[in-house]
Amino acid sequence: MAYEIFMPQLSDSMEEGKLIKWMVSVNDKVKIGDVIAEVESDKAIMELQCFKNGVVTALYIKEGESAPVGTVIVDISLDIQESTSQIDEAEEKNKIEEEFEQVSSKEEYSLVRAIASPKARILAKSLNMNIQALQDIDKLPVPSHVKDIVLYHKKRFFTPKALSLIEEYSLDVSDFQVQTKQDSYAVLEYIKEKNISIKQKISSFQKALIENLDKSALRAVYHIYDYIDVRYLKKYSDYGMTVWFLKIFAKSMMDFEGFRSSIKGDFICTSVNANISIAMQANRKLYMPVLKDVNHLSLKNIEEKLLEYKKKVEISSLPIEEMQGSNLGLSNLGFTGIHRFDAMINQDDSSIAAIGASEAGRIALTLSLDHRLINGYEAALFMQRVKELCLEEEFFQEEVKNV
Amino acid sequence: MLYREAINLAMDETMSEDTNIILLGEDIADVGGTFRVTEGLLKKYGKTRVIDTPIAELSIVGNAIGMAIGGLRPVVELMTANFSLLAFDQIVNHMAKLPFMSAGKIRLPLVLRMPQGVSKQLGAQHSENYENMLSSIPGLFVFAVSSPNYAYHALKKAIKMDDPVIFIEHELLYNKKEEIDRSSDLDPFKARIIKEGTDITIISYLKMLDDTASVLEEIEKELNCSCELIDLCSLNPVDFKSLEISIKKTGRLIMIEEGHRMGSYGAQIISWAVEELFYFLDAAPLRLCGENVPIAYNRKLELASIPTPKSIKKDIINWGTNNGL
Repeated sequence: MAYEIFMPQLSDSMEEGKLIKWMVSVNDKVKIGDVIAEVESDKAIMELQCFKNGVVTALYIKEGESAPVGTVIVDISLDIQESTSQIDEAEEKNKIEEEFEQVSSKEEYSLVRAIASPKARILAKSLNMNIQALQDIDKLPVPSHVKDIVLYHKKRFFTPKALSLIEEYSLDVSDFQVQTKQDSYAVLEYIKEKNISIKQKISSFQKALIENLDKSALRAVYHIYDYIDVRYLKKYSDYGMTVWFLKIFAKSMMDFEGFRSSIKGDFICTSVNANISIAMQANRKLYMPVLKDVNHLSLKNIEEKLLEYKKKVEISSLPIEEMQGSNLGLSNLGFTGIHRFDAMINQDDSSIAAIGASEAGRIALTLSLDHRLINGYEAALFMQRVKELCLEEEFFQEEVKNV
Repeated sequence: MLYREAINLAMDETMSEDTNIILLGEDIADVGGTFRVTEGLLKKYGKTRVIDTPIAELSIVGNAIGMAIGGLRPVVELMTANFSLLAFDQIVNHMAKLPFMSAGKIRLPLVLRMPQGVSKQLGAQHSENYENMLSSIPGLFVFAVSSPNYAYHALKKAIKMDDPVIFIEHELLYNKKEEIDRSSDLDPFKARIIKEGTDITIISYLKMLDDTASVLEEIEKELNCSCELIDLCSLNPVDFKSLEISIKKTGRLIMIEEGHRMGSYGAQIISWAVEELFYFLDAAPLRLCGENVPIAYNRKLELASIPTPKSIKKDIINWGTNNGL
């Protein structure tokens, strides 16, 4: 095996080096650290060292000659026997270092002088705990820290059920002046006595929802109220109310571009299709999944899509992309029997329709609208269009046929 | 804005307001500073206000002190903290003491800027950290400048102060980028909490602060704890109040610096914590510093002699595991 030594770069600005003197000649044995030559850089004369053991086989330049940085100036053949002994040496060194590490880490532990941290001692004292005695019977580690004291105290004086209550209400165990074991009943009593409220960290989902609602509340919103006739909605009840409403709104939206618009920075963006978000709730969380291009979907498609979203919402696995890009929201609380309500406009939507329960052949419909995008006259026309569609039997027949 | 640009801006803005402010230093005028900090100022303010000095640090600082006594407000650049040693008689015996010895009759509105620390292969004589020596001299304010925003505000305040200030920069931070907030009023004497946490207080400054921040998340994950990282900012006087609030909260203290372990600056912070907050500590404090060797030119040896992100992470995790975390 050959080992080549190059003209080294000895300073940042050095481009070539002048060989002042060879300290070895061909066939010389060299070992690690031996000086091979003296080289002059643009600043000073420096020694060139050998980093491997071997025998010099060739010197490529003469004394006084210059060579560019990076050219080979010496060839050294590596003696195999010597290089194996080198490996042994390295192994030996590693072994010694390992042993040394073991010894020093052992020593570290025996050097521990305090049996507990100052903070842990103060806490133990306030809890009437004898650290020394507990360490003697291995109930506390040496040294003890605050965490160990708290853990021991918890296990000693609280039942697991009591502990989970303490966790749930984020209580401080040192607030309990205890001499006997506390069960969940005692902790509950304490909670009731002090009237402690449960604290739950706001999840990222809730945070996003709160931010959206805060934004919605700042909008210039107004409402218009009317009733729609339900005779055909009931007659063609193979498809649910929500499915029909989605279809009716999508069709109406195509005639009113304000309802397909949203404000983004300095622009008003108007979608080509009707994208509708629909309010769904599961596990006390509100979701607004978006049905895209509802104007092109058949009743069957809509029904399937709603079912798919319902499943996803129940297992909380709705991706964020499926909650974006809507223009109008739909909230149907009719199934709860509520007569009339109004809803908050979702994210960048232009408006939201709130649908109540059917009563004496009609349903109360409330539109909440963003005045920046839709004026009152437009809104009234839109409401008119929705009402008309609900009374056009041909529309219902056509849509059922299209499926 | 870059760190060096922030320093430049602070000098530029104060110089345009007050003609008494003048700059002195080696190669600061024609060349614009070894680290390009004073670039463009000669052209703007002329050679009577931006002065190239001979290579004679004792005379530079001596002249600056004379100018300050005479009513000017000199801002001196010493090429590196290593060279401040040549000016130590002026710094210690005159700059720090004249206001005291004159019973306050002499005021010294004087700033001494100097970069320090281990850079990349500048060798033993250009890589030292001297904040420990400089902050042990009564009469001097010492700022350690870890970020462009602090650099801008602290230097403006330092120039306007009527007392001598040592303004320590770090050679590897000159190209650090950060938006500076020109509208805010920053108190240069107040420590800055970089990241809030509840379990360990980590105090650092200059480049070690960035090195620590780069591995903080991994440390927190490994030890399953939350760390509070503090930029000390003013090394003398120290904002003990902020440190106390943090240590009382966490019960654990780590001090990280680049200088040699023996006589290190952080040793006095730890000494204070143990003296004043003993019963709030839940573990013996940890001090990470450079080794007790002159800094080598060889890059590997150079890195082996100071804390690096890798060694900081390893040492903190070891300490945490052996101390009940």
